[in-house]
Order: sequence, then C-alpha cells, then structure tokens
Amino acid sequence: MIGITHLRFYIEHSLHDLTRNGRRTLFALFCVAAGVAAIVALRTLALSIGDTLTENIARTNHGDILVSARNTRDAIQVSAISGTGGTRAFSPQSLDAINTWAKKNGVQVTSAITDVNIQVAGLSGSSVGRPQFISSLVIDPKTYPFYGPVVALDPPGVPLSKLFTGGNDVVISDNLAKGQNIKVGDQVRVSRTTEPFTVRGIVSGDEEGFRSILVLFFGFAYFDKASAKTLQIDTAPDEIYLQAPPGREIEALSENLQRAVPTINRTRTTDQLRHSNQQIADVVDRLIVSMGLTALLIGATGIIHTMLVVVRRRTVEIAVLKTIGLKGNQIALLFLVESIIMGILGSLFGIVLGLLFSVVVQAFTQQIWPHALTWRIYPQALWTGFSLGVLVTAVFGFLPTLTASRVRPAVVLRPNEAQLPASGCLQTLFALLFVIVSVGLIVGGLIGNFSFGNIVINGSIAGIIAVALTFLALGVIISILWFLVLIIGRLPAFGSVDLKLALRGIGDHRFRTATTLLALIAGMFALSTITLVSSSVPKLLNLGFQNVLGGNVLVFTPVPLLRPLVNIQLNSLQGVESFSQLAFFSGELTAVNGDRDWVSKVDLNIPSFSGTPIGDSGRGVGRFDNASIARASVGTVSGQDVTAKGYSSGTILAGRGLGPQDSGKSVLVMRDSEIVRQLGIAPGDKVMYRFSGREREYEIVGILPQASSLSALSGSLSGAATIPINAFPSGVSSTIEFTVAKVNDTGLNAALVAFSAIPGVFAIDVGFIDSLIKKLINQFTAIPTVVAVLALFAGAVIIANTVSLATLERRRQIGVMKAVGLKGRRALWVMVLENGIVGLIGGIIGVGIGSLATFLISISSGLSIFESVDWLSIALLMALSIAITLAATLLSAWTAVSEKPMNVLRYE
Amino acid sequence: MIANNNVPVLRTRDLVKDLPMGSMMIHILRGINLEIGRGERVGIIGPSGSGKSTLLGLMGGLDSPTSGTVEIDGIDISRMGEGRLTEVRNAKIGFVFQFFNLIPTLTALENVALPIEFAQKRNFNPRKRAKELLDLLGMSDRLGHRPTQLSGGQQQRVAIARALANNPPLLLADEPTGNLDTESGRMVLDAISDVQREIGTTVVIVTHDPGIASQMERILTLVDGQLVATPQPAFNGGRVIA
Repeated sequence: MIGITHLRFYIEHSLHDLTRNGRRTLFALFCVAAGVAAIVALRTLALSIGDTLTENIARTNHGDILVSARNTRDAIQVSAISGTGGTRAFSPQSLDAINTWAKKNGVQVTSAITDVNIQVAGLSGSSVGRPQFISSLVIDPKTYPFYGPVVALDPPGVPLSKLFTGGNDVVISDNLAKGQNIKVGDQVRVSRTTEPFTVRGIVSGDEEGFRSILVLFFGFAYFDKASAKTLQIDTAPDEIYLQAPPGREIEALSENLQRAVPTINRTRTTDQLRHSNQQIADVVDRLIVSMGLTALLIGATGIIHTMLVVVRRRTVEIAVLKTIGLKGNQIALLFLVESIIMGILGSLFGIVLGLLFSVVVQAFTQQIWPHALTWRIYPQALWTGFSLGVLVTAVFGFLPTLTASRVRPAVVLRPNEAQLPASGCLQTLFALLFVIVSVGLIVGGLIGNFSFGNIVINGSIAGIIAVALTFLALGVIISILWFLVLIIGRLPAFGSVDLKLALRGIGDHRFRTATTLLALIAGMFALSTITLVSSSVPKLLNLGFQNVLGGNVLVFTPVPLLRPLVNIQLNSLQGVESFSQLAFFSGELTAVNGDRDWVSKVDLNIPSFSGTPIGDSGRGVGRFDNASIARASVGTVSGQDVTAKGYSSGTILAGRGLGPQDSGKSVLVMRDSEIVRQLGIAPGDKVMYRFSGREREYEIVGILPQASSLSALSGSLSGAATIPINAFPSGVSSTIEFTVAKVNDTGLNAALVAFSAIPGVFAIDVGFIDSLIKKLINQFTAIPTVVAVLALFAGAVIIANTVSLATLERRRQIGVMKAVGLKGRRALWVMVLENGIVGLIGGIIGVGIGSLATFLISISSGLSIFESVDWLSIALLMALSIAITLAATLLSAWTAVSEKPMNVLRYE
Repeated sequence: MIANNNVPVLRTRDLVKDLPMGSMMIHILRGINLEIGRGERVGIIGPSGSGKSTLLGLMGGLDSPTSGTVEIDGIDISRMGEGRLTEVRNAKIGFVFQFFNLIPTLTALENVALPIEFAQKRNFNPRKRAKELLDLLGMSDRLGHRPTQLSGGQQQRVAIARALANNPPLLLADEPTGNLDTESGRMVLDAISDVQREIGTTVVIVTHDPGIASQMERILTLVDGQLVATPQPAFNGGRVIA
C-alpha cells in the first residue's frame, strides 16, 4: 500500500512539474516524438513494402510455377541478329517435353520472350522522338498472364487479350507513355524494324515492376508473339509459366515436372517466391527500423539535456524533499517516473506525427518503388514506435536522475549556492552499463539472430557489442567536440560584446553544446553524403565518359558485316562531328627499346588500375608470375580508326597525337603511367607488343595524360596505348569493338533513330547512361534520404530543445542584462549569434565529412574537384544547417527575451 | 543630457501596482508619492511583503505600474516602451541585487564593462572605466576572475562597480548585504558610501536591517503598500509627501 501511495505521489508530483513547466515539457516531448515519429513512419513504409513483396505472389510469379531457360541444361544460345542478343532460350526438346507433361497433368502453359532490350521512339508525322531503351515482353496475349489479368489504364478496363488486333501492335507501360508523351493510337518506331507499330493500350508499370531496372526506370512494352518475325526475334521463349489444375499441390507438381523433364535444373513455385520475398521483407523491415532508431537515439539526447536541467533547477526542491524524509532512491524514482511519463506522452504525440510523416514518406518512396504502396495504419508500427519511445526515454532519463539522488539536504540552507553534485565514478559506470545493455537488447531484438557462415550469432549479444562500440565511438567524438567547443568559447570577440556573449554562451555548457552539435552533424552528414554523391557521381561519370571516349554516342555493332552500314550512316548523318571506331586488344608489353627484361627495372609495388599493387595481383592465382602480370598491366591497348572524320587523339602531354598519316603504320601514343615514368619512356622510343602470340614493334610518337582511376572507365576504356586500328598484327581479334561518335545536340535524335532501325545494332547516348545512373542512385538513396531527413528533423528538435533549455537557464541572466541596458531584440540577437555559430560549425563538419567521399572520388578520378563537385549543393546544405539552428532559436527564445526583467528577477 | 539640479532625480505620483494571484488581485502598492533629490541616500524599510522590492523595481523601470507615474530626471518612464526603457536603465540607473546577478561567463572586468558596451552613446572607454571603478572598490587584483572565483563580498563589489559604470544619477540596491556575512556587508556598505561621496550618485537601498537604514540620510517605511511617517536619522534632509 505504501508503494502505491508513493507511486501516486510520484505521478502527481511529476504531472504537476510537467504541466507547470509547459514550455520546457513541450520541447522535451518533441524530442521523443521526433524519434518515435521516424520509427512509426519508417516501419509503416517497411511493412507496406513487405506487403507488396508478399501479396499477390502468384501474379508476381506469373503462374503457379515458373520455369526459366537459364535453369535448363540444354538451353540454346539465341543469336544476336535474329533473336535476343546472345541470351538463352528453351531448346525445342525441352519445350516439347514440358508441353507433353503439362497436357498429361492438366497444367495450363503460357510463355514469354522476356530478355529483349529494344528502343522505342514516338512518331509524329515525319519526326521521330528520342529512342528510349526499354524492356519488352513478347507474349501470347490470349493466355498471358494466368493471374491478375492485365487490364489497360487506357482504354480503361480493357484486358490485354482484347488490346491486340493482330497487326503491328504494341501495348506500353504508363511510365514509358509519360516519358515519351505517347498516347493510345499513336504510332511508334521500334528498333530492329522500320515498320511502325501502333500503340493499342497503356497499362500500369506495376504489372511487370519486378522484372528489371529497365522496366522500373524506363518502362516496358508488350508485343504479340505474332510480331516476333517483324521484330526479327527468335520465337523460342525464355520463360514458361504454368498454372496448376485446382486442388493440385504445387510443390509436388513442381517436383513431378523436374522428374519428368530432367533438363530442368530448377523451378520457382509461388511458395518459394513467397518465402524468399518474406525474407527480403524481413531484412528491409529490420534495416529500416534500425535506421529509424538512429533518429530516436538522437532525440533521446534531448531527454538527457532536459532531465539534467530539470534536476538542476529543482535542486532546492530535492533538498527540501530529502529534508522532509524522502530517500535518495525515492528521489531517483520520482524523476524516473517523470521521464517515463514524458516518454509515454512523447511517444503518443510521436505516433500521431509519425502517421502524418508516413503519408509523406510513402509518397516519396512511391516514386522509386516499382509497386503501388498502399498506405494504411499498421498497429505493429505504432506499437514499435511507442514501446521503443518509452523504453529509450526511460533509459536515457535514468542517468540524470542518479545525480538527483545525490543532492545534499543542506542545500536548503543556502539555496542560492545550490549546485548539482557530480555523480560518482562507480555510479556513472553502472548507469552507462545499464544504458548500453538496455539499448543493446533493443537493437538485438530488432536485428534478431543471424548467421555468419555456419556460426549463428545471438542478436542480443551482437546488439550489446554494437551499442558498446557505438557508445565508445560517440564518446570519442563527443570528447573531440567538447574540446572544440572549449576552444570556440575562448576565441577572441574582436571588440564585439555580442560576439563575446555568444562565444561565452557556447563555451558555458560544453557537454550540451557538444551533443547538440553531434545531433546536427549526424543529420547534416547523412543528408550531404547522399545529396553530394547523388549529384556528383553522374557528373563525374559523364565527364569521365566524354573525356575518355571522346564522344557522346556509342554504337555497338556485334556483327562485323554491319560495320560498313554503320560507317555509311555516320558519314551521311547531320550533326556527326567526328566518329572513331574503337577496339580493345588484350596483349603484353614484351620489350621497351629492345629490352625484354624491362620488368626488372621497375618497382612492382605500384598500384594497378584496380588499386592493388601490381606485384600482389597475381598472388593466389599461381600460374602467373609477377613479370607477366606487369607486362599485361600495360597490355590492354585500344585500336582507333585514325582516318575517321574529325579524329583526334585528344590532349597530348609530349610529342604528337595520331592522325590519318599514321594509318597502317607501326606507331602508337602511350598513356602516361607509373611504369612509363619509371622507365623514362618518351616519344621516339620503341616498344614491342604481343597480341595472341604475335609480336609487333611500334614507335612512340606521343604521350597521353594519365588515366583516371575510375577503373571501369580508364582501365578498360582508355587502354595503356592507342594504335591505329589497322596496325595490329594480322589475325588478331579484339575483345570488344564499338564506334564512338561525337554528335551535336541537333543531330543526336536522328542519329539514334537511324542506328536503332538497323537490326542487331544499338546505339546509346551518354545522356541515357547518365539518366540510368541518376535513376539508380535515386533508387538506392531514397530510403537513406528519408532516414537522413528524419534524423535531421530530430536534430533540429534537439537544437530547439537545447536553445529552449539555455534560455530557461539564462532567464535571470537575460533579465539582469536587460536591467543594465541590453535591449530585448539584442538579447535575441546574441542567442541567434550563439546558435548560428553552432549551426555553422555543425554545417562545416557535417557537410565537410559528407563532401569527403565526393572529393576522394574526384581526386582518385584525376578530375578537378571544381569541375565535379556540386558546390551549389554544398552552399545550400551549409545554409540549411544554419537555417535549422536559427529557426529553432527564434522558435524557442522569442518569448523568453521579451519578458519584463522584474518578472524574471522576482521568480528566478 | 545635462541634469537640472532643481528637478528631483526620482519622483513617483500615485504609484499603484496590483498583481493577479490566482483569481484574486493583490494590491502591492497603494498610491506612493515621493521625491528623492540629487545625491541623497535613502533607505526603504518595511516588513516582508510590504512592497519594498516592487517599489524598487518600478523606480528602476524593471516593471510597469498599474497606475501612477515614475519620473527619472524629470522623464516619465511609467508608460515607456521596453526599448526606450532599456536605454533609460542603461544611462540613468544602476542596480545592485541581493544575489549579485553577475554574468557567470564573464570576468569581473567584463561584467563591469558590459553596461558601457550596451550604451547607445558611450561616454567612457569600457575597459578603462571598468578598471578605474574596480580599483576604486579595491578589486584591482581580481579583474580577470570569474564570479565563481570570487567571494560574496567581492562579487557584490563587482556588482556595485557595474551599477556605476555609466555614471548613473541613481543607484538602486535591493538588500545588497542580505546575502553577505557582517564583515563583507560592512565592506559593501562602505564601498557604496565611498562612491556616493566620490561621484555624488543618489542611492536608494531597500533593506530589512535597521542598522543599515540608520546610515542613510532619509528612511522611508512601507507598510502594506503605503508609506508611513518614520522617525528620521539626525541628519535628515529628505521629505515624505504622504
């Protein structure tokens, strides 16, 4: 009974304190709510994504059982010119066997050719739109698909089977229609043929959303298999979908099929797909909620700040309570109850806020998620947010309450000298251990048990270790920031009294300022890393492509017979400024100026294109010695058509570039590298190359600049040297060949259309690669962006709370300053200055570290950071950091500085 | 502004201050009329809750009256806006509080220089003036110390120096020795007397201590928000308009 009476006293006393200090309470509740809202919003998103993965599974599988040609032993290779670009299709034998088995077992069969990447362009009179790479599906509209009949958005409600009329018809996805501004009834140009196709319907992009990135980003088109001949596509399908008769056990049927058709290695049933998708959904859920926990932990630092201030301001009250008989542990319990009440109220507030956030988060994620996300209230998301909110608040509120229990009752005698006692070492250690174990168990519960090879790792233990390491790292970071704050507090004010007050204010509460800075830095770092990498990588790659390739359109001609046709087009097309055939040959540098032992003259401990020392790259391989690896490291050579229109070798460091006069001659331009420098290779020197066992000596006429270490670009696309394409030893074949054309903007579209009309030839413009990369980056960064924004929001709330606490603590100080002549708006200006400095420092550190990744990529690519880094974004992010702190300051300090000094001096 | 010596430094007329307390209205001051001349030393005494501190707050423009007027150097401050009022406080009034109220993040020198740095129009070099005042108050060896590094008496002397920084005509002190031991209290009072003699500032001290009040030229007694007739010290030259 005594316990209940005490508890009632604790609750009532806490509620009184919370309501009487409404402003302080409100900011503290916001701290909890921001974190809880992040968890609720993210978990709602994760569960919604999980639903799209696990619902309508038969529709996603396109049947009860899916058999793919890739999983058959006798799949046939379909040639590029007549079919699907070198991919695999079912052999006639397997097809027959499956059909026979299906007939015998009452199983329905349909199939599709799925792996055909073609280009589609809108036709308007005589003008043709930009050819767009898409994924296409050649199907039998009468039977495809078995589940969830595909129904057109336009004309509304018409099923797929009724859309095709038997002619050159195409049904396209809504994202393709939108991207190309194509409507039903329009004619389109499709690569592989010059015959126009008519758009008979537009369906949702969701219908085939899981197939590939092309489907997701650029859309898809259905073709009737009757059009396969027009499109010059082999009719052998690469996917077969089976529908089981009612009542048949699907797993058993699948096993039966594999026994009956032994060429099938593997099938995919709906249960298997559901199981694997559920696993993905679980991982997504855990990952997203773990990320949301970051925002909650940032918010929890606000609770520490608030509880510390609450205890500090109530030191006399604690002393009085102790004087009248309350024990230390009861005092701790009293404050713990208060923090739990804050946790409960904050979490409830956070749930409401989280539901609002979840609508926005879902709308944002929908832009990049292939399936329609349905917003609904998930009770488990609300429960996760609430329970974590209360738990984390209680855990983080616990530490300050310990100091409350140590207040000495004698304080009542000298209330103006009341100071908060420091908690003892043992007590602090115990409290930290408690916090680490508690948060570790929470994290462990979220991530669950997981296996590492054969070893199953307990989630709780992993969680505790992870949290302990995180706390250690945070401890180090906070210590560094603490010293930084100390230094800032002592910076000279250059005669400005406002700056002096601001700087001293910063230095006065070093721990609080350091943790606030950390919250701001964390949010700014996450946001700036994502923003800057997203904006700089496409820019870097674009620059890299154009610099290395010397053109903006790549024309791939897998069939050598078609090359003359491509060259005729290139010579006749408007807007083609230059073009060059590019081939890559794999060889070895066997001698330098007749010296076949050149390898012994260089230090092999130098990085290769992949970044590993050349001398190490052969380790573990066994059959290669260091010398042959070193020879091969400078052995990839590009062959270029030096007689091509407008040909240029690009920038030359020494000597001269190749030109038409070098056609067929044994000359080359060497790319600058560590090996070239160590050997002192210069124009006039001679080098011997061996390709496919044939050697030829070349004279070096020029030195090209060193390649960037964006290895995919420089190592593979630029080569160690460039030789006229007709100066290689006879009988040597290239590893890859394509034509690089520099086409101006006005001629670009016509050029792409012209090439797409040649079956077996496809042209890509750098803009397409750029948009593909941008879309890829957007997709990968969408959820981290959401988390970063939510973390930043939590950081902003912490700052508002910190400023509010600072003004609360400094009410008397502000009152005194006003009494001696400081105007209210100037007092506000001092607060603005103080927090603006914090925002600026947070921005510099957060955005600075966030920019580091981009800077490193730029430097390692050999590109100027001034060219590749998005400086505008950096400036905007810095401004955002300052704006957040200023908004938080104005919000929480506005009323405090406008109070009459007498009110403050009377009651503080 | 050149002060007119015939105008009282401080004059209140029918000064009333009511404060809401829950659903009730408490009448703290019930019509105070008084004049305090240039260079006077006045003590305000009275029992707890009689309105001494409220009267001091109204005199210093820290609060606004419910009705009536307060004039400082002939200027009515009772209806002034906060911005203008701040300027008047900065230029014409110095405050000394019971709990010192020094800015904890600033040194003694910086605390004293602060009102000069806040001034619209600076009449002094802040650091030089602060140093002079701290010298005057015997604190020249504590210039770089922060409040936490000073004793109560030392803190109060810094507070007095700060109050005098802009050479105000009026110094208002609320229980300036209330938080000090006898020796420190005596030193603080001596300091106030010394600077008053030296600079000629008018001093108004609110106190419980009859011993302190007796050192004043004139004593005003407040009871239940009203001034009552009080036996005056031997050198009384003041007047009470009751």
